[in-house]
Amino acid sequence: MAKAPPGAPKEELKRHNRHIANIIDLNKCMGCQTCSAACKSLWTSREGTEHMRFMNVSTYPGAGYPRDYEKMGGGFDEHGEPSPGALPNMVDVGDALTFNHAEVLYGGTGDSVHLQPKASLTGEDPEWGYNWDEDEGAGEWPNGYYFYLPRKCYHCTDAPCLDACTHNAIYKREEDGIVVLDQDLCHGDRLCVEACPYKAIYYNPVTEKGEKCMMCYPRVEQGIAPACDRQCPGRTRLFGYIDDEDSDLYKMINVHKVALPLHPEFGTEPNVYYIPPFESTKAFAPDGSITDVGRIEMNVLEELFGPNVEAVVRKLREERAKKQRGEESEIMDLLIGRNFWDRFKGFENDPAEQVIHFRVPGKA
Amino acid sequence: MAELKPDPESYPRAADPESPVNPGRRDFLRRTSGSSLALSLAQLGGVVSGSFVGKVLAGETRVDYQKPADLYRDIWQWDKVTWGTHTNACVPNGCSFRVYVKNGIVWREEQSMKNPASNPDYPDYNPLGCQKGCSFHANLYSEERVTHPMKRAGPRGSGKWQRISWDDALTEIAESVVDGIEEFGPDSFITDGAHFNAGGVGFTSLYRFNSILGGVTPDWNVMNGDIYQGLHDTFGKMLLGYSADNLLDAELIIMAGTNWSYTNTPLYHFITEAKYNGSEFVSIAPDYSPSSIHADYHVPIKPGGDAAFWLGMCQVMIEEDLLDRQFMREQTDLALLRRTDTGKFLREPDVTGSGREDQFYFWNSATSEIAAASRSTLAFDGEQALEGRFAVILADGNEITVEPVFEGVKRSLAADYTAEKAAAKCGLHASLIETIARKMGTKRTLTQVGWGGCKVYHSDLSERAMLLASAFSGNWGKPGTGQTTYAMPADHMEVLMVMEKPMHEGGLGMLAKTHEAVVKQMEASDPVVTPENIGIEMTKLLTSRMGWVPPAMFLHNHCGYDELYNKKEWQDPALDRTFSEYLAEATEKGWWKPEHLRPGPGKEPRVMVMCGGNPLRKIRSAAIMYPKHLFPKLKMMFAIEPRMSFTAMHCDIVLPAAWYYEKADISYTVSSNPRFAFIEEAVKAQGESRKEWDIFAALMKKIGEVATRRGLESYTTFFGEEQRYDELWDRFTMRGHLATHDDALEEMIGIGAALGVFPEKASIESMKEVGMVPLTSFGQGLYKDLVANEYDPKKPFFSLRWHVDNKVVYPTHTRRAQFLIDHDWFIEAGEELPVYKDAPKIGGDHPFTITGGHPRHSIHATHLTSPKLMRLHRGQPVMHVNDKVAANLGIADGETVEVFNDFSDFRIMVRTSPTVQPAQVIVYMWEGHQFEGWKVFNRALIGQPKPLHLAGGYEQLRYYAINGSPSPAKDRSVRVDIRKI
Repeated sequence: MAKAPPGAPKEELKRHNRHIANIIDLNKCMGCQTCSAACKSLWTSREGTEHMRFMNVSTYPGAGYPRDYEKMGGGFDEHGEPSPGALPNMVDVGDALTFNHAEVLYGGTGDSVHLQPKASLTGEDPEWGYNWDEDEGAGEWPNGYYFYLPRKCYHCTDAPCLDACTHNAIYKREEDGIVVLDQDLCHGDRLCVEACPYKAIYYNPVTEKGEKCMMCYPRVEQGIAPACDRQCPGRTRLFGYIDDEDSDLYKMINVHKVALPLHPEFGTEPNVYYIPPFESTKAFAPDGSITDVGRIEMNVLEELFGPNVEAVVRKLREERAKKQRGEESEIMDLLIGRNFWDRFKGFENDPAEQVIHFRVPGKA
Repeated sequence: MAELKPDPESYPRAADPESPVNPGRRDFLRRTSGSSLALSLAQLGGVVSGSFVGKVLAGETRVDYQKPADLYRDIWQWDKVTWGTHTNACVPNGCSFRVYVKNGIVWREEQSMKNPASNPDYPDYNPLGCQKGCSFHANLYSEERVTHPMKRAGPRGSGKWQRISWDDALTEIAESVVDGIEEFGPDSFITDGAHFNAGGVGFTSLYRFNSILGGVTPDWNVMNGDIYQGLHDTFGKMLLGYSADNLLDAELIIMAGTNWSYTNTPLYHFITEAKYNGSEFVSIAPDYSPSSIHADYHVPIKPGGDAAFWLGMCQVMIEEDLLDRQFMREQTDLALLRRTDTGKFLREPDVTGSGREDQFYFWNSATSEIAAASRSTLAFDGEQALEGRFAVILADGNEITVEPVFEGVKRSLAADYTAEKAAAKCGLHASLIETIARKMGTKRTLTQVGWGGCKVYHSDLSERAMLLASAFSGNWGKPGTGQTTYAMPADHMEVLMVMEKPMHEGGLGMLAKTHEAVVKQMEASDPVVTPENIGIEMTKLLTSRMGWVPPAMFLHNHCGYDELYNKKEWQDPALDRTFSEYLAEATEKGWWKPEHLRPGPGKEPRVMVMCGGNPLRKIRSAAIMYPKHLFPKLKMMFAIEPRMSFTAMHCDIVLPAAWYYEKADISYTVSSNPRFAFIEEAVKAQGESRKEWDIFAALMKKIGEVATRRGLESYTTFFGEEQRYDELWDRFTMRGHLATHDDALEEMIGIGAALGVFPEKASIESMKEVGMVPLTSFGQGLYKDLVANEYDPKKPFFSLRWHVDNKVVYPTHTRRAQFLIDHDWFIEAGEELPVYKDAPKIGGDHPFTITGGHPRHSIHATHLTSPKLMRLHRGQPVMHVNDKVAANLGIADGETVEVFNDFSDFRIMVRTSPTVQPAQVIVYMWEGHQFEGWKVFNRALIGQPKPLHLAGGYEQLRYYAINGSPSPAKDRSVRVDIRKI
């Protein structure tokens, strides 16, 4: 088996024939964490992965996940040059809290001991953890505001993690562009983590390798949408090939152009797109009277989605107004997505059936 | 006597996240602690090897990444996949899952996603589910799991346990049950009313056991406070829900006191999709809640201020002439005549000198005379006046003045509820009330109050005011309308709780006979009874037979709550007597009968079973009152639980129950998510745990054996019947026909099919094939009359249609949607019409009103202490406080504070946010042993019921299962203060 040696061609590792993509509708996300729970059960319940959330949801504005990832650098600057980056530590990536159930329930200590979380590393009270600033937000009463921001690996077309790896352990799959981190080639240097501006790669201290969202490729290979997308009860997600012109995904990204990448200024061409929050709750004026203006200001959205967001927001508002007048709107119908399976064109297979079909005799 | 510690080898573990910190992790900390900006990418210059590129392009060399990929492909392999769901404790439940099993362990679950749309014009129901359902497997293998029968080896709550055998455990319990019955009769046996966290067959077995033994169970739903007294006052019923896709037919959605983002996760998308479909969404909540964030308008109501908001809306609709007068005339009592001298309705005895107290009158504008309001139909040949004053000569020859009820409503609204005045009462700006009133007056509007809304002290007034605004705008009984989150169809579980013979021996015939008897009795006293009236009477009868009692009276009489309820400073000042005095008066008047007041005078609780519930966490202030007043009376407290709950920790014996995926089961359904999901036995039950039905059957047998050994033959039930001890098991299992859990499940499915709520020929085998079945109808009992609409799986569903389309009368005193309650106590309270009242300062004169409700990360207490779910948040209780208020108090986010009122106190971490109202603090549900000193937050919540709800003798003021009587969970008006530690 040939392995890519140090000095392998990055172009070759990035080459792909087709590319998958996601859309996440932030107007529908309720921050329920079903996506992150679904991902965790499937991929990161192993020893050494407990602190990882390939799929995560944070309240925005907020510190995000990993904590303050937006301030840690990575990605490319305006000249296309790699920007330096920092590593998040175990606390930043949310830790894996431990608890004293046995002591409380069976220890014979009665009410003198209560159930408490401990940081797994220090054994102390946690000072931070996953989703720590849930439902906090920003602004001032009565105009406080927030929304939920689900994130995962963006499987960037120009993935800086791939460039950064000196062992060529990261590559894009030819058939779908999914960015995979090879467990055999990885030396655990975490240069990829520094390079990733979204901090979507995690360190496994047991195997001493990096791990990341692999877009559920064992499912995708079987025509099944990724777990986080398929299991999202808010119906926020679309998944499919970005060049599939018949898909709802394609129409929203390429025809109606209402889906935007997060932090386009990172320069990595991410493949997970967002429908921005376009009609926030009406704000109150200083005298307490109700206004007709939403409480999330445009600059908040521009910080996340760049300058294009204003036009998208305007378009989406116009489309909703059409529906309110009783007129048709294809964009609104796409966002409703009456038929669940239209969200996952080409990836509608039922995992329960595929699993039985797929089982390899003799394998654990 | 060995102390019991969990034996890690006694059951398999899916993963062991609690394992000690290993060197690798420490190494990770060391290596990641520096966050220096390493110039890693800059080091990459010139690394591309030309020769390698050439070889790859020439096809001589291939980069083979298939092997490492097998890490993830290996994970994605399973031994079997089965059906599953998590039913009963969860509403909407019935989210069909697939359960993935490998090596005898459940590793994950994923929604089955076979939920169709009603029709292609509406979104389908996929995928359903939530993070709790998608993490449930972890509960099976958690340290919380009870795996063996245990007996306490120290004082109650000491956490000292010893393992005992099933036989010893059941024998000890049975001895206590027999002791109790011999001392006080079966009233000595109390079943803690549980919503049930472990399935439908278990739920049924709990209440069937209580019913056959003759025990007493405080109504679980009323105990939870999940009752809408204002809806009862107005419509004579309360569960008036809809299917979630009905939201797409609304032009305006107004939700009050509910937080679907947390509590109705699987169905939340219907709100956001309705918005895309053109409807506007208004959220009424004290805080800018996690559901308000998707609202077009947030109404930041003062806690409990809702009635003022709605009445202000009503006044705007009057001023701007946005009334649907024909709807008001026909559907409501607003056109019924009221005497100006007494303020009461004009009744038949007034007019004719005899006749019915519940015969009322209109003024017919077409003929300019009074006309009797039909008691059998809402249709009226003529035009009922809504306004004006008219002279009527009474039977005694006196002339009096009468006016339609609407006149009094108008006066009250104009005097006290202009937009400005209403806004001042509820902490809003008038412009918000005006803006929303104009929309509601012109749009098809869904006005829904949630289960949080009904826990405010005067929530009945808020509900009545909401319905008044709905009546003004003609907004019920039509597509896109709805009043509550869901309605419930006829239930396969409830029928099995009371059946005496199996289906194949004509078990349902008993119900038919009871029905006939009720009809005969009712028709003897009233020539015009509706099927709905009959259904309610029959349900009252069965409620009593099952031993269900209004919980406020149980708490008052047996658990020391009279100390709290009689504090007049915590009570509406318009009511001048104490709760005890009102109760005594109501009992004397016959409004409450001995069957409602069990255990009766001179009797005491002796044995209590807690199965699938957690009363010390759930019941307001029970963590103080139960140990102080109830527990000393109990010779035996036993729990049947899959997890060691806060309450189980206080029990004498804990019996391990099988959980979801360890037993076959089927969910119930609600209209919002109209389907029944099936659960297969994917894996064997952990340790020695058993299915609840089997446990109760074994206990029945053991009670018979113990009594026989003691030479006891029988006892007398509350209803005066002789019950042989040695026949208890026979009755419970229908002479062995339902000896096991699986027998009971098969019977339940048969009942559902016979009632028409499941498809015909449904069976365990057919369920295994399809995993779920759609709701097919609301059945043949009371439920279909309550919702008053035919359920059609091909259409969105809404309630009350038959009243609007077919002019069917309501089950109220006036047989109309009723806004004037001319009951003497309502007049005394000043609540004969919908008004706004400030809530009393329950808990004392403190600056913050505490609100809360169901948390995001748990279904009731089931997942509160599940490590998997706790890792989705701070892993400990938090209280949400306004950021500026916290700063002024010198309290930082993350700081632990003491919360206190005149009754109790607890400590909790603060989380600050500008989305919290300054005079409010929010504590969602947390488990008791998560608090320092186990001082659980709801110690301070009291739950003060409103004594007015002891009123009776008036058609819609009544109790039957899960409906009516004072709610002992009025906790959203409690006052607290915060102290820095």
